[in-house]
Amino acid sequence: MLGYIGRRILQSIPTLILISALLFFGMQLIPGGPLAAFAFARGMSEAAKLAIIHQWGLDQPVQVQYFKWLQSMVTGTWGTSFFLHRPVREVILQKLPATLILMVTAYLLQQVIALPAGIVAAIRRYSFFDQFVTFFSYVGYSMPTFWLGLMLLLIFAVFINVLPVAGVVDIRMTGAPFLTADYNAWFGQHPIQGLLDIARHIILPATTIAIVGIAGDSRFMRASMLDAIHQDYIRTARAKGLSERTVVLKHALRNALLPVVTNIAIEMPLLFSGAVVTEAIYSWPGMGQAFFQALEAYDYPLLMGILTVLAVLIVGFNVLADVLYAYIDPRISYA
Amino acid sequence: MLDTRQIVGESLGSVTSAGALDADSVGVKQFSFRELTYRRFMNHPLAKWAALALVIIVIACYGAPVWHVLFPNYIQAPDQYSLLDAGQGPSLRHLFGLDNLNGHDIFSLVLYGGRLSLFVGIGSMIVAVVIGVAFGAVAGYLGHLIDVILMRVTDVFLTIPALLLVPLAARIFGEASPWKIALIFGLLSWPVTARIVRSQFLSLREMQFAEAARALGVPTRRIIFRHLLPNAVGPIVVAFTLGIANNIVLEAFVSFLGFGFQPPTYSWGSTLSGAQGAIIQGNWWWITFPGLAVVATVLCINFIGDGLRDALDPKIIR
Repeated sequence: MLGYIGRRILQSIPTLILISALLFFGMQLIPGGPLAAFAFARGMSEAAKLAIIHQWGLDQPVQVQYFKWLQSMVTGTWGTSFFLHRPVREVILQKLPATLILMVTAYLLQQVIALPAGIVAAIRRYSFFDQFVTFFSYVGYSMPTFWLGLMLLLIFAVFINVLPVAGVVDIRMTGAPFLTADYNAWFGQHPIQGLLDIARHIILPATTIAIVGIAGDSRFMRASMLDAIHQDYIRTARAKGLSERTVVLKHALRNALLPVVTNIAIEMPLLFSGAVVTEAIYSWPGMGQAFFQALEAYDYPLLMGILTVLAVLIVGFNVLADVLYAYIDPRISYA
Repeated sequence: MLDTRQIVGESLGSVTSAGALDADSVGVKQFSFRELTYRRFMNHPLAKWAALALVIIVIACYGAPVWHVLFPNYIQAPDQYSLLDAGQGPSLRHLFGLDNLNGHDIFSLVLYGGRLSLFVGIGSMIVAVVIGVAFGAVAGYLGHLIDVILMRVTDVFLTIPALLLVPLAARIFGEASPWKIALIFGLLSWPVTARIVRSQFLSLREMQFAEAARALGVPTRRIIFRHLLPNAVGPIVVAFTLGIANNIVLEAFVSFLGFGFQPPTYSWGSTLSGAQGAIIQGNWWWITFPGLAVVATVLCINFIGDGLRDALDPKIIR
């Protein structure tokens, strides 16, 4: 087992290096680049510009820049952001928690609704409930996440005005932005108030991500469950006279959940996309927001850092899903 | 396309000569692959209505300049707007209301914008299918080292969400033109097709007819494109259809953020690009209607894709 995990991790390293190289060299192709920020700074002398280019290391050959970046990735700072003047690692570690909180909440919400819905839809096939789930999943699947977010915002934050429009905490209450030193101190004194505040802010963005996710997942769970229900061993279990409850929950569901578990890995990029989109809509101070801000500013080191962390997360979840699948499905060998 | 009638007919013919079975005499009509696909598609409960709706949407959008000439009071060109009426709600004259910024008629923008959104959706998937088929076919048929290398490249594109790569690529390509945006989306959405084609080719290349072709000395390129590819058409068509839906949604988001088309170039996404600010003022029509246009179109395309999946799968016989 350990050998299998080790091998899967080793295999993913070339993919990650390839991803980072393609991204790094791709970014060099952006016309203008980071210097575009100074295009209108008339008062700036040529010498000052050259000094900045030198400070950013942009005067070196691309491949040298890439290896330097790779080195900084392995050894620590992950490069220095051009415009925030802070190590990229620091910036990302400050932004990552918000994204993770959002993703985990949305994912749990999504599974809590999608799995039972899919199971019931499969057991009562062609019933009204089944058709409702099917219809909902088609519509949900066809909906742009950002538009859904805006509509929820319109309804619950503007028309009914019960939920906050943006952000992760209420600054009027906390006195400081999320995860700053002042905020942490405040949170230490008012943990319950703080959690409630985050909960109030997370409802809309998490629901937005979850609705689109439920659409896909309930379909998947339904298909997987239908597949299991029509197996011979289910007929055998029924013929033995087991109660329907035992048949469904113990015999069918266990096997039907296998493909659902692997689906988690395939869903990671989707889930992340959803988080990025909703962050943009709800001004959620996470990785997605940081990404688009960095892109606006051509902040190469920050862009590279965000994309690389993202790639590592996604590849990591792929490995995790493979391992999990091999662990729970005895038919798969670790070889 | 494959002509099943020929194949089935010939084999049946030989059976008939043995006196065992005559399809015509038992009253079973024989259908060509195309006819069969068409009939199965029409049997799908929703696909045919979705197809009809999509045709109407396409005609409505691409006919926008014509409607503008026919009904100048109701359909306005994107360069016409009335600042004085900005922010008006839906009325008979302005079905979807007016935006807050310039006083554009939203209904007209939805029609005009649909042309770009549909163009990007379809154009990008044509690019994606051409690349994806080439990658997938070569990787799947030749296998070995080439397969490993090509699939690693595919992995790269599958790992990072297209959502993040598209804005990045849009920056590289500079100012947005319909062709450029379609090309960018195409260059980033081929991996799914490549994966599908590869898995098809992995099994197809082991089939006996492929072996027969190899034994006859048919050149590899001809085997790939003439012998194997027609057998993989079904999944490719489905991936093509669903990809269009995906890319229409993606375009809407990217343009909404301002990385794709920007006003005064209107797509469904760029129509929405100023709408977030208007939400606070209670202007719900600006955000609602262009979004509904996307949902309706994408829903239709997804239904069609579903119908095609059933219709093109030779294993399902109805």
